[in-house]
Amino acid sequence: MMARLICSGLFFVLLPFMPWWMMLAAVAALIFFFGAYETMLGGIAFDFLYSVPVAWFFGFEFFYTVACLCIGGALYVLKERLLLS
Amino acid sequence: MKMNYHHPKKGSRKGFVVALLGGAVLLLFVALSFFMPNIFSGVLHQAAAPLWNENTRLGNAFSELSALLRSKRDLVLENRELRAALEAQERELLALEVFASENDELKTLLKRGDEEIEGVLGVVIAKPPVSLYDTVVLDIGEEDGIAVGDYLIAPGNIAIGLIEEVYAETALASLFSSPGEKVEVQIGPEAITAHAEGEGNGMLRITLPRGVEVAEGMKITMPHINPIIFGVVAEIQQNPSDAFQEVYFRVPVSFQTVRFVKVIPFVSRTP
Repeated sequence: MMARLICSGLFFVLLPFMPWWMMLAAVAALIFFFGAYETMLGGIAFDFLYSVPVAWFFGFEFFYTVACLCIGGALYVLKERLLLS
Repeated sequence: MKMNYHHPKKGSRKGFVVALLGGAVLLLFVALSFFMPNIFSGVLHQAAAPLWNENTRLGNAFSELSALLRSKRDLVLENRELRAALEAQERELLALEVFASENDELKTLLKRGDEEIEGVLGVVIAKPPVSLYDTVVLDIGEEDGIAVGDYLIAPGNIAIGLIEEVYAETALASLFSSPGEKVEVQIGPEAITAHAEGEGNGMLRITLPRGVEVAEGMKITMPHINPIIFGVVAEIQQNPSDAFQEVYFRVPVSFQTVRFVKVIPFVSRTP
């Protein structure tokens, strides 16, 4: 539990200056190893910090949030199937 | 031996609830950002600004340290290359000085003096690849008098983007080269006006009739009395069966190396 808290805290502190793909990988790793689903909120924070309406996608601006939700959902299903949770 | 059995029904119900919750959270934030734009972004930008500033300071210190640790041989080689590049640029500069004085004379004749582009200097505190959206964060905001739609000018009078959101102490700007971004530009010495569209990764594209003469290396500029450069033509694609040609141009500055930008008031832009 303590490791999960420390890693999640570190994740949110590093969010403003680490490359987006690295943070997406961190979301996947933290969910897989610690079940830290709260890191999906990082996607929303990321979008509020950096996103602008994307012209080629009807002005949608929550791609990172959707990506985090997809990763979270996929890992949840995967862990259920692997009987890891 | 104790056996573990999987209960698919229970798992799928729990999964459905989690998916529903995730969807609801997403919908809530989409709705909130629609009805109260900048509320969450403003708070998060205010919280992240000290971290960004510290990160910029640490990044500068780290780059100085890594320069100190490099071998002397590497430095000698780099010094030699830089000298050669500098000499080549000095030669080019001589020709440019002639053009600049000629330009000044013409402006004086036409009673259009050198209109200095006034702007606000800003430090780039977050840039790609941190952001997924080809956006940069500046350390200047509403308090410094900048507004949505203002242009970002990199050293060398190169237009790189425009301000999308302004917060109290920070601002979010998108790059012209972001996929789908549209901007009005002028091509070559004849100043042909066209609309350029961002392609991502520092590239933009213009579609022109095949009859228009364009060459690689030609300058793309912004309509202004003082030349503001957008990019340099990198590639031209022509198809014999097509009446149009695709002109790809690259922004002549690497976003990763830009530390300072000047923010100037809105000039002209397509919707």
